Amino acid sequence: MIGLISTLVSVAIPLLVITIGLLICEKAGVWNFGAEGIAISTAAVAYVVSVNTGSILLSLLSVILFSIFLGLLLGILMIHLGLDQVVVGVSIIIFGYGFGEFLSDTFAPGFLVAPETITIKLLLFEIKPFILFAFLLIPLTWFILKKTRLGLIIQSVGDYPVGSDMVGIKVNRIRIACFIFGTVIIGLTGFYLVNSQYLVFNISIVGGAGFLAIALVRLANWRIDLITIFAFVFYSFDYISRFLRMWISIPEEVIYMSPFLLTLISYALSLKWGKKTREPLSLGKAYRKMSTS
Amino acid sequence: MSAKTYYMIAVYALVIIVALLSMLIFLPLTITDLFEGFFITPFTNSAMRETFFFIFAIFVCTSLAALIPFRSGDYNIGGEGQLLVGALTGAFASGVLHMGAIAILFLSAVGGLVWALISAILEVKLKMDIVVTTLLTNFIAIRIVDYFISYPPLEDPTTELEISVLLPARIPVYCAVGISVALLFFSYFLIVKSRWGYETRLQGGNPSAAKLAGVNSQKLTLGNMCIGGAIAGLGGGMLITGVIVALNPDSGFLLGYIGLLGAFMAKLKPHFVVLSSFLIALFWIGGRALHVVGGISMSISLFLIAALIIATLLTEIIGRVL
Repeated sequence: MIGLISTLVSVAIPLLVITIGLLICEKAGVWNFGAEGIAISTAAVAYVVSVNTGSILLSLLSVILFSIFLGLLLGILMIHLGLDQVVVGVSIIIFGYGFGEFLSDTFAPGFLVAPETITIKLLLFEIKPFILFAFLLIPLTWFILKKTRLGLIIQSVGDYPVGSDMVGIKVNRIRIACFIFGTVIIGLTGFYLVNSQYLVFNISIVGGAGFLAIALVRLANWRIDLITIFAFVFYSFDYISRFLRMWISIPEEVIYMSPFLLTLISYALSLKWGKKTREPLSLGKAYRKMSTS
Repeated sequence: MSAKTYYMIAVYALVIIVALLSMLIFLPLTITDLFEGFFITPFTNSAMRETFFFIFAIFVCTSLAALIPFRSGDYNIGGEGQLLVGALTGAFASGVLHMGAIAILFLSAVGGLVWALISAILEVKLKMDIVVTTLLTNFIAIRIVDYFISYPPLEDPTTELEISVLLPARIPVYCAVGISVALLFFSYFLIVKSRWGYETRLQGGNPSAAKLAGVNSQKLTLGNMCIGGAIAGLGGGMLITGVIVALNPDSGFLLGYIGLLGAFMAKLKPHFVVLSSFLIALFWIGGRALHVVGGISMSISLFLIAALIIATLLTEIIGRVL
């Protein structure tokens, strides 16, 4: 049972962390549509750096720096220059696939194994530091968004950028800062996948979690508690299906499809019977400061 | 041409030159390799030339599949899934029912249409975000293809690989190019010259005004998504009758997403899709030619397409400044 839980946790964690990263961006009113591309490219960076240097610390550092660079670049394009957030997101997905494959083919060709992060003994479990980080991130994000002044500012720039600007909040600066922070969190998933979970790289390493996360944020109605529950529920369905396969014939393809299908069905049902949406009112809309003259 | 157009052409030229020069700096390539890879081999090697024109036709389809719904404000990110489902229905027609090329292309278009219709209905009836539904259906499409090629009658019993039976029907390359040109004319007249196009543009440009003018936005969403889906499905039909001989879940990998950017590169104007698709297809096939000429990873194609996208984003910024 403990083995089952720890496997479930290790599989669901990337989706959970990417979704939290997206939530932070979206709460500030910015779509981070390219989460899949960001995670793939940071996984490639982690892989190339760690197999070439043998250092996990350098891998982590390079992933953080690369994520900051990506976040800043995309933030300027989408928030400052007001480019279409969906188009920039799709661009980063294609960039991620191309960059990831190119980087690993060129600088780490062949089947090389990346060094693995240490595990920490905690009660009955031996867990990776990243999993601990993910579990700390849940209450931390909730606390910041719900209980602090910063959280209020983030939500106000996501809902009413004009009003926020009128009371002196630097709307675009807050949005860029949140976007960079969210991108770093998403980027760290790439580090986890390479240095803790698979120890190798291929371009399908993220497995669509970046896309699933976009739907999950909506399904959870931008609530961190529901995000956490759904991330585990969808992957537990995957595990239950595998368990049931001992008695019932369930095609493997249906199991792989299940998180996406379940998300789609649940999202449809939540809209039909769910409560009022908490979608940030200015989500995806670039803000341009009004002239004061 | 206006000064703005000259600036935009200059930016594209500059970014392409910078991308190619950076390849010279970072990769073991010479100018001759680059020239041969991008401008000689794709046109002198008959197999590559044929693939180039098929890929061009497919990019025209996936770009138009994104462009038409885009004009009414519906982001169809599902070109990838619609293409794949189109390829699947076409594969049934070809590999199982042994139909002719015209029937295959028709069924491919129907497959793409039905797949796009699912997202459109969810948008119209439940107000589900079409970006999210088309994204999720892309992944579901991949798994559906995976399922069908793993079991009879589409499974290839002679191999352990995840591929379908051989798909014998072929279409000549000029047919694919001819269909894509016809689709370009159709899209131009639909968007620019027809009443439907006028309502579509009004809905996309100013939804409130469209509502006041009595435009039925639900009808437009359903109609444009169906047209887009059918065109993407047709692209899937071209894929299985021109480029590949057996279907696998990675067959249409990124063709749909890149098509979406092709539409954006064309500034959402149907007649510019011919240029954007030509450029993207050239970079797509050029990367493969470089793999043959210089032993470089084929992923360089995607890297170069990313450079094209950066150029597009830069022209967008210049367009706003000027």
